[in-house]
Amino acid sequence: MPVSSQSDITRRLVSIANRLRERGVKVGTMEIETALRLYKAAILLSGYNYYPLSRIIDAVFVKRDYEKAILDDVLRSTVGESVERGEEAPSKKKGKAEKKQEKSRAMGGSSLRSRRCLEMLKRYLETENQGYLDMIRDELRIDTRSEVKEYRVGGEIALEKLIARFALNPRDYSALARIALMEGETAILAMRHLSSKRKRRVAEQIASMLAKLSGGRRLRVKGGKWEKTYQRERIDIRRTLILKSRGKIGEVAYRRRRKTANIVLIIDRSDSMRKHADKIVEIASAYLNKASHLVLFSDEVKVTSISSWKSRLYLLDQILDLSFHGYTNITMALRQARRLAKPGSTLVLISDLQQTIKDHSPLKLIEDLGKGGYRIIIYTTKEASRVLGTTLRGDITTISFG
Amino acid sequence: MSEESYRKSYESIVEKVWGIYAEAHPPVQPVRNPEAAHRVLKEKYKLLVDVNLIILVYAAFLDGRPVLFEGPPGTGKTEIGEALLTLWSGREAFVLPCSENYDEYRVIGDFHPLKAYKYGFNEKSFLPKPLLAAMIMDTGVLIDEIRRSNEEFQNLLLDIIDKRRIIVPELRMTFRASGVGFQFIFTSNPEDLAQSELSDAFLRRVVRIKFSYPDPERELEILRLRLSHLDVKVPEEIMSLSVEVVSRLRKEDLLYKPGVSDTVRWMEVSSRIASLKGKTRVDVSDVLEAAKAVLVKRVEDEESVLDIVESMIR
Repeated sequence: MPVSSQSDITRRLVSIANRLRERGVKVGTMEIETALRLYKAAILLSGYNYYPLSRIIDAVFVKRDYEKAILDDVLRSTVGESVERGEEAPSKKKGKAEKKQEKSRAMGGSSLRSRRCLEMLKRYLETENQGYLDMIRDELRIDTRSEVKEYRVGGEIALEKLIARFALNPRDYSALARIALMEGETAILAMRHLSSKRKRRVAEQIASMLAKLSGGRRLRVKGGKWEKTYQRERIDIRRTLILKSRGKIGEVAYRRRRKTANIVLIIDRSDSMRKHADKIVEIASAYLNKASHLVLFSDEVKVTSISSWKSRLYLLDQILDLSFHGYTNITMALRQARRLAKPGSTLVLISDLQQTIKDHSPLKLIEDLGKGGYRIIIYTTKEASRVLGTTLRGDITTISFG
Repeated sequence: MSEESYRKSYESIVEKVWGIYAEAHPPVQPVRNPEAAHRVLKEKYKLLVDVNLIILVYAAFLDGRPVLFEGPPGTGKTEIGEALLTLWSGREAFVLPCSENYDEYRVIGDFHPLKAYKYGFNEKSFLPKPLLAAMIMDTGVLIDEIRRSNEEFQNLLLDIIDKRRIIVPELRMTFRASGVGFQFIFTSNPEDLAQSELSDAFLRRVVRIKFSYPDPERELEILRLRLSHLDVKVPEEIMSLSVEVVSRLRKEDLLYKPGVSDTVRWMEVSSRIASLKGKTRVDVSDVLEAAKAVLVKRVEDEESVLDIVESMIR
């Protein structure tokens, strides 16, 4: 939509519908959708890129005479003049731009014509009604005997030419695929149309071409064109087609990211932790279902990785059968944990933080990990947590026990 | 039914439809551009229609939605509807004046009793009716005074409009609309007495366009357009006077309020009377004489209508 965006119009329609509902006028979602579709069609048909929205609201939302008075009241009291806000009716005084637009209209208004053709193409893809193709042919003044090669129009030649090609030969799937790539809004409809024609392979080609165009990034339709987002995701063709068959127009499904539970549970089982055995079991069992790795350490480190439900039971056994002995090397355990988990993961450390083996400072390493994108949760004694609270920086949470 | 015999039966029905209805519904040049339609309506059909109304109707057609014209009698609902359907589909539209006992046998198709006795219920005894014919011929349908029909008929129409297909169970056949020409316009006058209400389900599916009496200036413009072909011309002052009279009558508490079509007919009859009297111009006496014949529709209104007309014209 040229002046007011589609979302703006939708917002206004929904707002008016809600006001009418509050006053007892039944306006369903179907009516809002109808109003939006009619508005889009009306501005294309008008040739001025303008049609009074109030007229559409009147035609679609008002079903009985007494409802008209309510609508007038709603428009006056709550929305006021803003129904038509953003849309300028063609004024009688013509500026330079308007004169240019008028000239373009006189010459056939290729941009508007392209959009009209595109709208009809979309409706053809939705309904498979041949009449819309006839209308495209009328609009572009071509008949079935024409050769598209000879067909010349000003302005958006490429798109019109492709639409003309498809209107002349609805089996020209390559033309449809190229239209789909140029105009995002038609892509999903085209894929659905192709899959219904048992041309799933072409539909998949469109999807993979889109995926290629996106460079692996999620695409969204904005103003009819494809726009890349920062998220890197792949299109799920199968689910996109299923969504289409359920009538969810314009929705592209992406492959779900498998969420891995990246929590590493690091437990100090040195001799000094013996007195906190109960607390360790209590805290560790809270993380048991989420943890992907268990790191038990004293002066040596033992790593257990979870691969299935069965190994979770094994993990529980490990925690319940903890034996406390040996010296403490926190730095080595943290280094090991860093190897197991990528930045963004959570490291849960249960320790009194009293390093008894000579190595690099564990606090320095914790701070580095925190700055490096790891989320660190430390369960420690009250005394140690007091010290940590004043020294550590980064995404580090300290919880005291004992 | 094998595919081959189904195809043959289908084709024989299509052929029958074209045989029966093609002559009564000849093709015309389709006009799907609202501005061009506005011009054609004015020049060919002598109808003054707001371009925005045409755009709205065409937008609804483009979306496959039926349109409901609602308003008082004589405001041009039927004429405009028929003309718009004709221009959109490129073929003379079908007009179905509604009645209470309309059902699928009257609008979709029926079986010839004797032929059904002889051949059975098949394509040979089948008689296609207007709605099926319109679908096959890809032509518009104007359903006049929809409020006079029963709810069952309205529901039947909704199903056809929504799905754009007609199922004939006796033939075990499904007919589908093949183009965009098969569109609906309903007309209704909510003020008319002895009519049923339209259901919410029906109203939700249509695009409702309200018609009302035009303002005097526009009505005068319509008169000029519609009376231009008359041999005995109606003077401008008489036309203005007639518009004033009709506007006054609409404000009165009458059982029947005259519409634009009544004003046009009043002036046409006046012109005929003047012509019969051998005059070259219509005068006040012709207008008064015509008023008795055209403007008085109900006995209860006669006295007040004539009083107003005489007091204003004399």
